[in-house]
Amino acid sequence: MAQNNDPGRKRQYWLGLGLGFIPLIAFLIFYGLYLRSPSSLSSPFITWIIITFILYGIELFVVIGFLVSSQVRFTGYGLLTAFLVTPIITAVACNALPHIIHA
Amino acid sequence: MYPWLSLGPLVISTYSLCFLCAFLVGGLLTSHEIKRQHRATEAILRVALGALAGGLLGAKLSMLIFLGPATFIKDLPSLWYSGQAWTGGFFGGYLGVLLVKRFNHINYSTGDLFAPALPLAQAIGRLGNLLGGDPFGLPSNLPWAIMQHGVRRQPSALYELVLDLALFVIIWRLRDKLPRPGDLFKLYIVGYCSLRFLVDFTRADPHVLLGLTLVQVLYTFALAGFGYQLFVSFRQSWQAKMVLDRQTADVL
Repeated sequence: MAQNNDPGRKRQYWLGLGLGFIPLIAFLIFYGLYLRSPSSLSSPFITWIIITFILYGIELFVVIGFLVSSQVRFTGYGLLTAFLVTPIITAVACNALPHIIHA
Repeated sequence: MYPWLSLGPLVISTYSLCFLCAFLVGGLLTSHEIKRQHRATEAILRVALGALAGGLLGAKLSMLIFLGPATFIKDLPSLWYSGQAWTGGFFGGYLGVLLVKRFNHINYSTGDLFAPALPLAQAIGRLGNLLGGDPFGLPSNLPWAIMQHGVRRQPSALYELVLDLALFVIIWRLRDKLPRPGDLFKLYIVGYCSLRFLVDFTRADPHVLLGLTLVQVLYTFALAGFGYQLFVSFRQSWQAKMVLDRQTADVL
C-alpha cells in the first residue's frame, strides 16, 4: 500500500480528525454551560447535550461512508480516530469540568 | 495517594491525567517509530486504528469478566468513564490487529512498531494508579508499604511502574538488534506477562485457580504461546547463522 506522506492525504486525515471532534467540542461547551446554569435539572442545555450524543452516533455512519469511498478514505481514517478517541477525552473532561466550573 | 492534582484553580483527577498522558505519549512514540522505520503506509494506519478500536472495546468488555455479569450490569452507568482493564485492552487490541491484518491481507509483522511505546504508556498509566490509590495490594508491614483506605498495603502499582520502565529500557535498547521481524513485540509480551505474573502475587485480587488470579491464569497461556514462538524464532535464526558461518568457512 502507498505511503501516507502525500500532503493531500495528510490534509484529508487532519480534516477528518477536526470534523470528528465537532460533537465532542459541542458536548464540552454545552456540558460546561449546563454545569454553570443555576437550575441544572431544567436547564435547556440538556437538550443540546442529547443532540451532541445523537451527532456522535451519526458520526459512525459518516465514518463508514467516508471509508468506503476511495477518494476521501483518509478523511474517514481521521474521523474514525476522532470517533475512537472521543470517549476517552469525554471521560477525562467529565472528571475535570465540574472542578473547573465550580472553582 | 494524590487522587486529585491542583494546578491553581484547576483540579483534575491524577488518574485521568496520567491516562490521557499515556495515550498521548504512546501515540507519539509509535508515530516516531513508524517514521523512523519509513513504514508510514495506509496499511500501518489501518493496523493502528484496529489496535485502538480493539483495545478500547477490550478494555471495557473485559470488565464483564473481571467484575462478573451482575456487578457489570449494576455498574454499567458509571463504567463508560471508569473501569478498564489493561489485560482486556491488550488482548482486544491484539485481536483488532489480527482482524485488520486478515481482512487487508497484511502478512508481515507490525508489532515491533508498537513494542517500545507499550511499556512506557503502561508505566505512565501505573503512575496514575499509584497516585489514585488503585489497585489494592496485599496488607503488609514492609517499610515501603503504602496506606490504602486505612490499611498499609503492598505498593503493587509502584512495583509494576518500576518493572514497566525497566522493560521499556530493554525494549528500547534492543530495537533493530533482534534477528527477525516480530521478535521485539514477542519479547515485550513475554517480558510484560512475566512481570505482571510476579506483581500479581502482591495484589489483593481474588484467586480463581490453584492460588492464581484470573490475570495470572490468562498470562500463563500468553507466556507459553508467545514464549514458544520467541524460542522457535531465536532457534531458527541461530540455525541460519550457523549454516551461514559454515558456508563462509567452507568458501574460505
